[in-house]
Amino acid sequence: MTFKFARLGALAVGVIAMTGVALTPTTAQPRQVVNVYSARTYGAMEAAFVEFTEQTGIEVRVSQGSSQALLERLRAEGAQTPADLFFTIDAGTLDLAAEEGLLQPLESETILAAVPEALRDDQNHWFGISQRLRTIMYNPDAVAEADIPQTYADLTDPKWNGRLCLRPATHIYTISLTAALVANLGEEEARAIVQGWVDNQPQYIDSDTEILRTIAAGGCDVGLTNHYYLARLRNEDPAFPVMPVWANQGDEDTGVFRNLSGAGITANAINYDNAVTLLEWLVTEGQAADETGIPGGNYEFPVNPEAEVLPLLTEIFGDLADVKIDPLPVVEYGDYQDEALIILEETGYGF
Amino acid sequence: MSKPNKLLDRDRLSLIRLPINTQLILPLLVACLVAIPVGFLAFQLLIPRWEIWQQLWETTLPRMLGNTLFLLVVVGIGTFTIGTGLAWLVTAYRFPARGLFDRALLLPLAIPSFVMGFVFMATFDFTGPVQTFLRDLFGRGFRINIRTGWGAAIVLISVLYPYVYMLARAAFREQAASTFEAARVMGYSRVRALFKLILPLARPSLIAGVTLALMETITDFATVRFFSFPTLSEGVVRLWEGRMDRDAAIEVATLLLFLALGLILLERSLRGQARYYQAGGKGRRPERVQLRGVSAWAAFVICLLVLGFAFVLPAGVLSVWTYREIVIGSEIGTWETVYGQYIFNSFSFAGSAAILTVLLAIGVAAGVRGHGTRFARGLARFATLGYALPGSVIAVAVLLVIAPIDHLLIDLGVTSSLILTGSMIGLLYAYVVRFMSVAYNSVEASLDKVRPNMEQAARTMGAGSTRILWRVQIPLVANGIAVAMILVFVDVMKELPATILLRPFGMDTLAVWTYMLAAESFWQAAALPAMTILVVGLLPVLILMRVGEQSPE
Amino acid sequence: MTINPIVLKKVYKSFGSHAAVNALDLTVCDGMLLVLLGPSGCGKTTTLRLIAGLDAPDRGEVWIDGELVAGKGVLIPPEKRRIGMVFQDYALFPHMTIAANIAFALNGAKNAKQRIGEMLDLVGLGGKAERYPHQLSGGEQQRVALARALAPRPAVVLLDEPFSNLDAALRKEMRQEIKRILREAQTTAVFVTHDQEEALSLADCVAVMKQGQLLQVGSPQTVYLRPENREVADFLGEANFLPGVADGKCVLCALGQLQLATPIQGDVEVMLRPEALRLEVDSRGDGVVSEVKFFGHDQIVTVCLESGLVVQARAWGITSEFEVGARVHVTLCGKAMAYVK
Repeated sequence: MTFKFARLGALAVGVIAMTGVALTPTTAQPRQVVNVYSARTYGAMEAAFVEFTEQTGIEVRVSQGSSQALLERLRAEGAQTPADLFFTIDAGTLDLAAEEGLLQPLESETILAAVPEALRDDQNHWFGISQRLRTIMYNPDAVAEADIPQTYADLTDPKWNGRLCLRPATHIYTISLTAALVANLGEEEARAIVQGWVDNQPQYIDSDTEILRTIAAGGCDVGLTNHYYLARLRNEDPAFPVMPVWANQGDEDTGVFRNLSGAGITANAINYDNAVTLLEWLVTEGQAADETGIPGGNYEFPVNPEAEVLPLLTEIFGDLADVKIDPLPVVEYGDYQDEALIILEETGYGF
Repeated sequence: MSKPNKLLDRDRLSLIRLPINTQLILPLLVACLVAIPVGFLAFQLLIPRWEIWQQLWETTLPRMLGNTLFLLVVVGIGTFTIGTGLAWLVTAYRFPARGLFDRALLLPLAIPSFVMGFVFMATFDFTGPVQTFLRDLFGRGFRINIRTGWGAAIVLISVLYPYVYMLARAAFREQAASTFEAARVMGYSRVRALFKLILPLARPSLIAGVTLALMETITDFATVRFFSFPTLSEGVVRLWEGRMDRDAAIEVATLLLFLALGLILLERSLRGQARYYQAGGKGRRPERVQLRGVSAWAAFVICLLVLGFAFVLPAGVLSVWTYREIVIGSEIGTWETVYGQYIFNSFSFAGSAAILTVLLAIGVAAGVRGHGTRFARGLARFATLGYALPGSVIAVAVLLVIAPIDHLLIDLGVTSSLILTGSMIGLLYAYVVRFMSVAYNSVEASLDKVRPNMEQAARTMGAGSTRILWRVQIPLVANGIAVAMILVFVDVMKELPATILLRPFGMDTLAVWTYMLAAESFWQAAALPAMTILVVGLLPVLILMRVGEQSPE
Repeated sequence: MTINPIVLKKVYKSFGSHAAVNALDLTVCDGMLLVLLGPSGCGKTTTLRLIAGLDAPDRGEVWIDGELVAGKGVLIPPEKRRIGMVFQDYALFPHMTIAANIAFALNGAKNAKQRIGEMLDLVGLGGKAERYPHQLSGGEQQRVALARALAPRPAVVLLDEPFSNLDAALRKEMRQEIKRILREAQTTAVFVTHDQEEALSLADCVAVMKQGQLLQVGSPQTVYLRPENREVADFLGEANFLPGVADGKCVLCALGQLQLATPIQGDVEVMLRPEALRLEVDSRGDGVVSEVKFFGHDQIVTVCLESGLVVQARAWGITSEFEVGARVHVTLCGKAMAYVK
């Protein structure tokens, strides 16, 4: 008697499993599909993919994971990978994939016209889709005008001791930023900067949104985040009390660190044509400044110079054309990832 | 049976003995299934790669090791104190709402630790409502840093104490009144009798409960990651998934494997030799002492606080977020496009794993019972070893075994794609290894109810073997099998590390989805899948409550 | 003057509306083995628990060793009462060795080791100190429970139906054993049982209880041979009751004129133990054998008297002369008891 519902539950388990087994093969293949490995948080919830499916009838199947995990997966699967498109939030990872032959070059007039040279692989293995700038954020109530840090290196100043929020070393954002420092300044100087941050006893918070909220609430006064997290919070609350400052804008400086959300077609893509269609769409219609576009949905900057920029972004950050951006080919970040990791580990950076 | 006879009658005997040996084929197979990946991993430790160890030791290993040990100690003490204390409170005393708390205190079992982790984080972190309120009260300088080992330990204790509570409560209930009274007439006060007699007597149960909690603690990787408190389990996932450093991940996994085995051995030795069963058992239960005044309300408030923090808070917060997500609008993207898909994925993983695991468990249990030798029981122990191993370790071990097979099959031209690692097979394998003991214990307990003389009795009543099977044996076993299926089903739904490392292409589950969103602080969006897991997870807790009630009042 | 180790004065205890112990007065003298005897539910175990302090009386006083332990607003908890108790299920602690069980009772006293040895020798378990309870037989467990209760030299030892888990043969053996041990330990003891044979063979003094009250207290011989009322007579062994008319020392009934042990007047019931009736085969006898129940060492012979009344008599099993239909003569050995109707 007592266990009647237990049996019922077990029966349900059986039914569910059987329908699972029965349905899985039948839902395969009849429609046009493209399989995407995506490192973007939105994963399969990406509204742009829904829009794409509506416009073209091609179903987008997404598998989400961290950039590193997906790369690892591509490596392990080799030629047998089910993925057609590799979509990450980090140019370095794309570059590694290209170097290892996991991506194939694509000569598409549409794409070459839409994506500036600096934002794509020189051999066209992959293409940027949206731009994200990792820069300094501060609380204007807690930081005097004169004290506002202007460079990544400024954050090593002891006055920020206990007032700094950073993302842990496990996250690709941190690794890529460190790699960029190594590429620009050399191993020694990059290590000195990272060591300076660590010495300031930062709080490590594994979410850019939380870093911004913590700055707003007074938990720390300065931090490093990607620009669009601030835009997202400002969209919810126009009075959100955190201000951005573009890092490294001085004459001697190299410019603010830029990373890309980008994608490339896998070497053995089964749905090659659909993957090309998707990629071309992403750098044209997919550049829309509302949620149907990749940059618009996430408050990122488009790669296509002809695409509209969200008014909110311009309002907060000014015109992107006025910003000095690190000219280092994004390609190079990948080469320095290993060194960056060693520096992060050896300086005792949190994770 | 003497040896010469055996030799003489070899041919005849082999015919008789054959069915006995086939009984052991399945247990042997399952034991191998479990043993091979674990053995493979253990073997890695025999050929340590010193340069990797050295690098790990110089960088992150000491911290991971220290943090893991910290959590084991703090969670061990915390779950023991809270679980045992609450169990004693509800068995020995009467106070307002005692009957309700008696069962409701099991509810936090339904909440996966990583769900509690992000709810706790959202509520109590610097930017959360509690600290914001306190800052309004005490000024902006006020802060409590919860992103520490203590924060992670609080979360783990609050979801894991029910393991100790459940077993301690059962142990206290079993103890006959006369045991307690005997101590009283020998000059022991209530409190001294508790510490000198009741607790030592319940020791095997208490240790088993704490061990279960510690097993869950070392397997957790998501909670500690929310708290930026790297442990060995977190390290395996981080090195494998984040750093792409498989070799280092394998080395850390082997270390974790030996830590887990160490825990089992520790438990065995702490249990001691004494067999703790009570003579009689028909004895009365001790009278519950009526608490009055302050102590009654103190007992009430303690129970309320624990239950409120460990269940009402997360369930309430998740409900509000879920409501907002569905009714007011999605926090990010469009949950409608994926919710159905992820539920379907979760359910088909959990359902297939439940059926497969329970079927294998029935085979093993029946074989072991039929054979009945020490060897057979040893096999069963081996086949159920996986419960002690962190999910990440099992995932790594399984991959170590099946990935080479996969590539071999492709090289030989048998298959054209990764049929093992690229499909559910690898993941199911890991689930079977991990949850075999859950299924086995339940199935075995129900098989115990089928006694040979029942069959004989039924035969004397003129029942044929088919009728006996359907009317006697299956009904007796059905409940145990049903419970086993539900337990495995829910455990798989909640499982995270192995699922993250082994899920096939595009097959994200509710747990993975929750984790991904929560890691990026999309708490409202993460609430919907988390709530779904919680609701399904309540099912076995309700069963547990009813089982508790069946014990004689 | 010696102090009586246990005195109960007008003690009441009820559970809900059921009065388990009702105005009970009881005194146990020093060194005495008192057996509380009564049918199940008569309140004897409750009485024991009131003495132990495991239950508190609603009214009345309990004195142990001259000290008030319950009543008049005083309630001393069981651990302060200096008693030893043997439970029905022994309540041995399964996770401790025999020695540790006894040590637990000694509670850190001096010379504990020596005392444990003494106690184990006393109960004849000298070599088994390091065994666990489940490794012992039922009888051995019983002895350990007793040793444990006696070890701290309590003022009184309470035994709650300690033999009910033993089989019949072991029970008889343990009876003598317990009697010896208690005697050697020179302890005052209260023993609860519903088995009248057990009570009579063990006790210095038997207290017969019914419905929360004492019916009679006295030596085993007294309560058996001279029960004060019909209920006691009925409960302790078998009895024939015949109507009769008494005039002081004598009573006239179906067996003729009989001598009375205690004088009584008027219409009475005469109580005759079966073993007090002697049968002789006699063709002129006043009764006819209607049934014979043979037990081996004795037999119960049912005799139908001429008056139509039926009596049962016990005869030795060695004779087979009492056959159904045989005519017999029935006489009484000794004196009869009679109670007013």
